[in-house]
Amino acid sequence: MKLTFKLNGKKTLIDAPGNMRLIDLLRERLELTGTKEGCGKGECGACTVLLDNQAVCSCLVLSAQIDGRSLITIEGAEKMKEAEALRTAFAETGAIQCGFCTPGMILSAAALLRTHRKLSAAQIKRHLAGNLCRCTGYSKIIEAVEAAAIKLKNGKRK
Amino acid sequence: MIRSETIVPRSLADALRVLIRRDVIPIAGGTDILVKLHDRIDRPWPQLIVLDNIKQLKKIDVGRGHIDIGAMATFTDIERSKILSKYAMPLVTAVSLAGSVQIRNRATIGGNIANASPAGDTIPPLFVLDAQIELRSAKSVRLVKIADFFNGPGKTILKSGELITKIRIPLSDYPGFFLRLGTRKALAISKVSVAGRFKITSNSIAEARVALGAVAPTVIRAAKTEKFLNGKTLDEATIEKAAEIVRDEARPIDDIRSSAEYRKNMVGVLLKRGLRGLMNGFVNAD
Amino acid sequence: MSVIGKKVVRREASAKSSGAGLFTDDIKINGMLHAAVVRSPVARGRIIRLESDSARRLAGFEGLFTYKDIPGRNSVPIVIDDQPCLAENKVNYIGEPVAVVVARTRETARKAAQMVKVVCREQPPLLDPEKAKNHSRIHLFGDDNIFKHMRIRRGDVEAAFRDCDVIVENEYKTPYQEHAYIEPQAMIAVPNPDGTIDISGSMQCPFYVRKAVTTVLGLSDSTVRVIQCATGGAFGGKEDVPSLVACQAALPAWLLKKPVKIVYDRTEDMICTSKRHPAIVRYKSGATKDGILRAVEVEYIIDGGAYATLSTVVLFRGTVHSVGPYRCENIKVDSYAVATNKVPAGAFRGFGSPQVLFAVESQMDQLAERLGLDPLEFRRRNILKRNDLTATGQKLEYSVGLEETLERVVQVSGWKPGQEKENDTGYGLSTIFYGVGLGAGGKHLARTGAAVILNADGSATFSVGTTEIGQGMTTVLSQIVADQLGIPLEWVSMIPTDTSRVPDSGPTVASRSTTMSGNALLDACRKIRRQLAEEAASRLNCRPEEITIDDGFVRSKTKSLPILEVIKSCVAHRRCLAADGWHVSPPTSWDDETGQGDAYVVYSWATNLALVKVDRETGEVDVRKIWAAHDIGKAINPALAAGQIEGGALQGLGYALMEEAAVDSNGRLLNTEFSTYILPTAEDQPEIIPEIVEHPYPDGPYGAKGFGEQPLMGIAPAIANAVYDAVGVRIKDLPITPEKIWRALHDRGKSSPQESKTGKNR
Repeated sequence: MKLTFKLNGKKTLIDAPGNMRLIDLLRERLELTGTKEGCGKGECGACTVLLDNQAVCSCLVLSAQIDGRSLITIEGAEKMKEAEALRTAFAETGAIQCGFCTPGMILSAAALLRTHRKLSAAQIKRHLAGNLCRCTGYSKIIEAVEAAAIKLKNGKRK
Repeated sequence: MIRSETIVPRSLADALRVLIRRDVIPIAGGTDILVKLHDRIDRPWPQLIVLDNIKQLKKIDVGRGHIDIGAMATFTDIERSKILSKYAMPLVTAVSLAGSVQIRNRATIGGNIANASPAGDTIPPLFVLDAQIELRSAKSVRLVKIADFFNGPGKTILKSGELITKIRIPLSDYPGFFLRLGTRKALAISKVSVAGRFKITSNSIAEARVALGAVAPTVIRAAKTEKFLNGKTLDEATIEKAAEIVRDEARPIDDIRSSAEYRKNMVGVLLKRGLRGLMNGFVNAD
Repeated sequence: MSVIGKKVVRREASAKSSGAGLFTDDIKINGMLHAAVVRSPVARGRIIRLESDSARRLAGFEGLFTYKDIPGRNSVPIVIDDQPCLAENKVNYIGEPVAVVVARTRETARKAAQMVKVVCREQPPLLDPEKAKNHSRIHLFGDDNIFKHMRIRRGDVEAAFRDCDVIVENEYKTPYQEHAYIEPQAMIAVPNPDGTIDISGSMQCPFYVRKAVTTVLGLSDSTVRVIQCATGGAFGGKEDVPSLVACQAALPAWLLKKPVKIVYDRTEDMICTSKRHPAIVRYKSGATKDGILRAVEVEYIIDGGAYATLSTVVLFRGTVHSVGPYRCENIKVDSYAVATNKVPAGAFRGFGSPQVLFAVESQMDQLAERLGLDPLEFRRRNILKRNDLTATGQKLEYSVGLEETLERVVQVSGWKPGQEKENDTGYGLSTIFYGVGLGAGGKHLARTGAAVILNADGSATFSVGTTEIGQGMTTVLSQIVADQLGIPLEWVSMIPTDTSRVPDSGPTVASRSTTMSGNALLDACRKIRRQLAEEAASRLNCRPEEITIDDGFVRSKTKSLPILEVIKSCVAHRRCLAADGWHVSPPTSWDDETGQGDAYVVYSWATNLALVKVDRETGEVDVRKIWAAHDIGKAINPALAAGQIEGGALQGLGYALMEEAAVDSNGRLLNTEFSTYILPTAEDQPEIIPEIVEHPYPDGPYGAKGFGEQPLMGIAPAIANAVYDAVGVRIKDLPITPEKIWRALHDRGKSSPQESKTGKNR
């Protein structure tokens, strides 16, 4: 079926089977391999993308379900100030180890920072519970999200 | 592999029209069905009807004496609804504890009901909220009590051609709770869950509603516990006795997550905690 | 200012956070085919035939390959040569590879693989290692199903137990632990027109992969080039398993002369790849009333699964660590790695030691209680200190920081045993150690190579034989090269690990990358520094020995030159600014009969303290805080070191409380996805307080010693001890689930409260 949607801010038209998983559409058809597949069942969050600014697992969304909607993947992070702030903070605090969960983790956190600038560690933990990380123990990820939130808040004030 | 093309109806009428065909399956949020389809790679997928574009199925509306929740309202929609926080707190608590943000952003109340899991998190709250489900086909519409909807794990009274279109909850602000035990603090499937709602007049329980999740082939109402609680004053002795009764009402099985004995006992613990919260004035003892 | 000891940013952070960094499955090659594996449906049986007609009819099907198609030897040798690449006439576990299907898309390949029917005559499987050991009729390995039996004999345990005032005797059990790296196994094989083949993928040990592929394809080492891709977590799970995965891509690629990719589905990965060995550990520990540990007797049985893979060396490490970091003169240990009809267990962070350390640390707390001592005081009296002898009779001459880690944790936490505390909360201690490197169990592999090129513009590239698996090796080694050559860190880059760049450097395991590759790089840099020094000496009119190089300058006693100027001068004089490095571990020794010897070159040490609160009604444990102090010799990058401590601690918490994979009576794994194999999420994370202690290792680069595995190892016993401190329940089989605690509390409620409090009395 013919799909029209906004991908990382750009209008995109593509002909793809409606029941192709969104992750396959991104990785195979659009060659956006920053979105990772860890489980294929919505249990690890590595394939997280933003659909109308909400974090979703792209392995549990069908292409037909994105028609007419707006999509942000990690490749579009540079256009989203929350994601950019997170990328810097993740690097500086040491929140990245193997890096396989990182794109999904950053997008999940970006969705949170879009709506919240003041955050407790508990809120961050609750929000990121759908993104499994086996390397870091989450400590530095939580620190990085806190750091990015502060930076965004201060940036806004100036 | 060539899969049959997905159908994306723009209106409810269109959806109901294609639903008449035998070989089609409606997909709501997809968080259950796509997991199941992932594992059956060796068989062809059924033709899927995507319901995302039918706006009327997403609405949460207050009607005369009731609230109508569109079947395609997501867990996140429900979590954020002010009106549901006022009138259906057990449901709001249940969806906020379910899955992850990513899952809550996609999972729908209609899908959770249709999936008919005994551990489905929205179902015990809907039992105690006296919810009714609207089932609509191209030719008919009927409203059934939630308790009458399930026949067993994954089995419902839904007829072919019928779609869950809305969930109707009577307006009432009786206090209630939803409590669960999961396999970990987040992203967990319930080992047991208990929902309760109580009409309390002059310090005694006028009407009790207790529903149990994951302790029987379907979610069940704890009728004996309710009967015991009706008319009682809410005090420690009553709470202890109620916990004892509800333990025996649960009919769980041993499975990979926990044993039947543990589940029975935990139902008692959760009911106790819910009732104590109520006694101490917390609407939801989360 | 040197970059050593600095929290510099991970070198590949930007590539990984932008999504631009390529993991194996992100790589596409024109004409690439996809492979999927046909696997055994039974735990033990004879293969009668394969039925593949319907699979072959699928559009896009390109081929099916069995052991008959293997041009070389049908073997994936790890330590003992017992594992076939593809099963021939018998299968020994559910999920054992039987055939490889290749198709034009991954979906078709997977579908075809599922459609191929392996028709078997099913035989009853051996699933219980204690029944499998010395089984009279069924022989899975040798004639006793024992991959290896090890012993430690020291002093006279029987006599010593007679003199003990307190003896504690218990049995402990630990389950499978799944690595759950978030990136599943993945590999690509690309045959070249010149008759060579390139293998790239997710792995820890490129030289193991090369050995497997050369064996199966019958090729020479020079024909097979193995390159590591960005690897999305490993933890031991990508030590031996990628050898099999690589062959599953290489065989069809070689035969079809086309690139082939294979990526495991998560469920396939969970069913068919290695895990931490399930174990049964029986302990008898005795002490005299002066609070001194006098005798330890251990029986340790690990369930190795169907093939030996790494079980013999896992057993070695487990045996050496089985007494814990304590002085003890009388020791008797018998340990066994046993064959069963289950997926082969393998390497996992800690490598046979977390199982015994859980038991040892549980024993120590029980001994302390029976002696009327608190756990801290008991450890103060018994832990290993400098110049002590280990259980294997090794004298600890240097770098023994255990006592300092213990005192650091006490100081930072402010904890005092017996202090007032909130109801149902408890503190639990564990003191542990880790033998760094391969030790006497793998000493033939204890060498590494490196190659460094200092370019004319001052930038440097280097290659090593160990791999970046998320632990931060690239960054740490880059810091070393930058410091040695006196150039900024930004000028240094590491070439992805590639078997064509350096000689066989052994595996990336045993917490050995920093010390081994670091030392090999020091060796290479020394040669380049010599050139720089000679060049500078001629310009500064001094002897090369007087030259020092640091922080961008080459200095004599009185003058200095910018490093770039010296490099340009070297280039102008056609000096070679490239060098290879080589490092061989100091000697180790082992006597099989007595289990005595210098088992490892050095040990790292750690103390953990866990604070928990137990919900008495549900049995749920809330871990509130973990203090973890580690003696790692020297932290070349403290941020990365802290990251290892935090990440390891949470894996340890998972092992302690929730992670469990069980097998049913047919040998079928029950926990095959992340909804049933429970991993800690961000919400399960307690506050983790990492502390670094530095007792330098004289033979380590800058005094560093390896420690990447250690953070996981002592968490389970610390939590178990804390649970006991909180509610008086001692759980001896992991994981410590709410239900087990609830049941223990519940049963205690029925009987006398004392009974479940202590081990067997003398």
